[in-house]
Amino acid sequence: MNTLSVVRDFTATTFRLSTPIIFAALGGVISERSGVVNIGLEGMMLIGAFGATVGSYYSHNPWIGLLVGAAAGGLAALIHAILSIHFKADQIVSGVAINMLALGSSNYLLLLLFKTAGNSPAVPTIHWKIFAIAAFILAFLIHYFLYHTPAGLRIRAVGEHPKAADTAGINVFFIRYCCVIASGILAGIGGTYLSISLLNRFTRDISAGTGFIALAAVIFGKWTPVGALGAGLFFGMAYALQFVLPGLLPHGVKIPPEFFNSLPYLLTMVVLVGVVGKAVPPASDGIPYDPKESR
Amino acid sequence: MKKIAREILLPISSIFFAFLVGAVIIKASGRSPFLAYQSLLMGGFGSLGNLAQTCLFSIPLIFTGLSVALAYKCGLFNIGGEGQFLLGGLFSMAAGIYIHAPFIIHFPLCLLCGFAGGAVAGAIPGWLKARYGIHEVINTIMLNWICLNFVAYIVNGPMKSPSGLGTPEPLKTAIPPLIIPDSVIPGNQLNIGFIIAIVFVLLVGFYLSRTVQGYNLKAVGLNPMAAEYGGISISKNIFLAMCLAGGLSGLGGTFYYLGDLGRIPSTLSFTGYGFEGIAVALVGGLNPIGVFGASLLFGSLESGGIFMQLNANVPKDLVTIIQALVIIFVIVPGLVQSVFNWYRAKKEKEGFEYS
Repeated sequence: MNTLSVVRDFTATTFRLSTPIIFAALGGVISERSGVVNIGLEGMMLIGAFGATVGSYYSHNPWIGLLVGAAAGGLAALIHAILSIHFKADQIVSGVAINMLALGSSNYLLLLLFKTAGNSPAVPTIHWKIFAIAAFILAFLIHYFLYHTPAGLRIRAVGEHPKAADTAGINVFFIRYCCVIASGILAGIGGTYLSISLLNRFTRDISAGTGFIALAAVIFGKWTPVGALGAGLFFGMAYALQFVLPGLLPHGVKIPPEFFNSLPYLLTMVVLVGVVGKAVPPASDGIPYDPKESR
Repeated sequence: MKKIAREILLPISSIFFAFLVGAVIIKASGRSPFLAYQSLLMGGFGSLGNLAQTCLFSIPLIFTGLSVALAYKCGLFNIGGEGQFLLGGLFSMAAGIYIHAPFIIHFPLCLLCGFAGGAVAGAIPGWLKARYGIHEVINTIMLNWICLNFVAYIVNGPMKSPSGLGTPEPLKTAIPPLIIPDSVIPGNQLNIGFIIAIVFVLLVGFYLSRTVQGYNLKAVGLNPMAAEYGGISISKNIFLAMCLAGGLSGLGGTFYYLGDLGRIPSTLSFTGYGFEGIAVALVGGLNPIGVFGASLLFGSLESGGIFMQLNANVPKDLVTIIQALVIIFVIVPGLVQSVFNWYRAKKEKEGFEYS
């Protein structure tokens, strides 16, 4: 194995594994910037992955699959939005419910539509590089949107101090609804990537924690889009290492793959403690907005 | 009396509405909701064997439910049940395999190790919250995955059995004995964990409502500043609550792996009991007795789900959907309330038209 091919494989694997994390993490950033914690990213990815498979299977067109996947994620997010914004429910519990709902309904429909509890039939796919490039561009677009446009300023204002934003005439509920749904669409696209790009089918519990890694990436990237991109790449690299490293280490030295698998989570906890600079969430992240409450 | 009635009304109506939505889903799938729910009920309570199975499935749920409820009383949200469950299972399994002692010493020692394992997984986010003020939700989620990977590594590495199925089986003296002999209900696996779970329901209830320590813990949950002003340490109680909560989840893992499975399998994944514990705690109104009732219900859904799939051709994953719906209805009392209001308004309108 020559060095060049190792580097090329490593880079490609990094990008392949980072892409779904980046998509969902960007969704997480938008949602949390507007003040709604989104633990349900995992479920939104899962249902997005399933939707994409169904769309691609019945239309024989993977782009329709992408649309259905994104819409499915958005729909799951809409439920989260209604519960946590309209009904002011605990956002974390609501997210847990979304994850359970996604897990149950994707497996339920898998058995109903495809008569299997394991893998769906193979479906048409989209090349992974398209997603990878889109994720990159999107991160910078969202950065521009959040920090250089009036709408972005409003979103950040709503996440930091909704009362003040409300007083200034910004519709807090509307902004939060839009942001949560957008986060679901992005997570849904991340899930779509898993099922009809990285693989060519839906498998039971296909997201397998990617949504939670995305949540970690949101924090590791300190609630910024470019930070989430960097964190996503970094976590993808940690995964890619375990495929490349065994060939590079001296004979007899072995690092268990489980170590690399836990790295994103370990690092996130380290970041939270403040070793790599303090990570501070938006001030009103996780607090339902009640116009009647004086604060 | 009225307060109790209201406290019971919310979970009951939430469960009712969740099943109602479930029925719509079954109907939309072209199956019979009546047959499905009948099979679900039969599978959960239909025979003594099924009832024993329901009780068996409820054991881990009781522990994870108590875990979430206890942490919640201290103002903490423990979604680390999955990881604590696994680590508790690992510790108790290690004790069960490597320690040689008579049953009377060995079995309690396994329980202690299981509790300790879970408590370690709970203590870390507890300490981080108490010392650095970091929100426990993120850390417990992160720890779930770290625990999963750690336990997977140990099970497939140092503790791997020659058979390759996972860890070796624990020694006979570590396995929780059956409550009902096989001759009475053939094939039942209901072990002593059920009785110990009931003891813990009472213990946690007593601890929270009758001891000074429990009072302190709740005071911190209700109003940390007032508690601190009254001389109750916030950080000490937060740390303690997370240790206890972790330990309870760890005990759930202990009974699951020592009793139900008899080993920790090599293909390790989350069991779902940690997350269902959240549902159980919420449906049970964060009250130990309520947790017990909710666990029995969810346990029956699990044992009935397989029967429903065979009998009514409805995928057993419907059970997960119903559990999620129950959570949604419980956390949004407004949702149940608005249905009631709509119904009342409709009634009043109808009444108006008649008169």
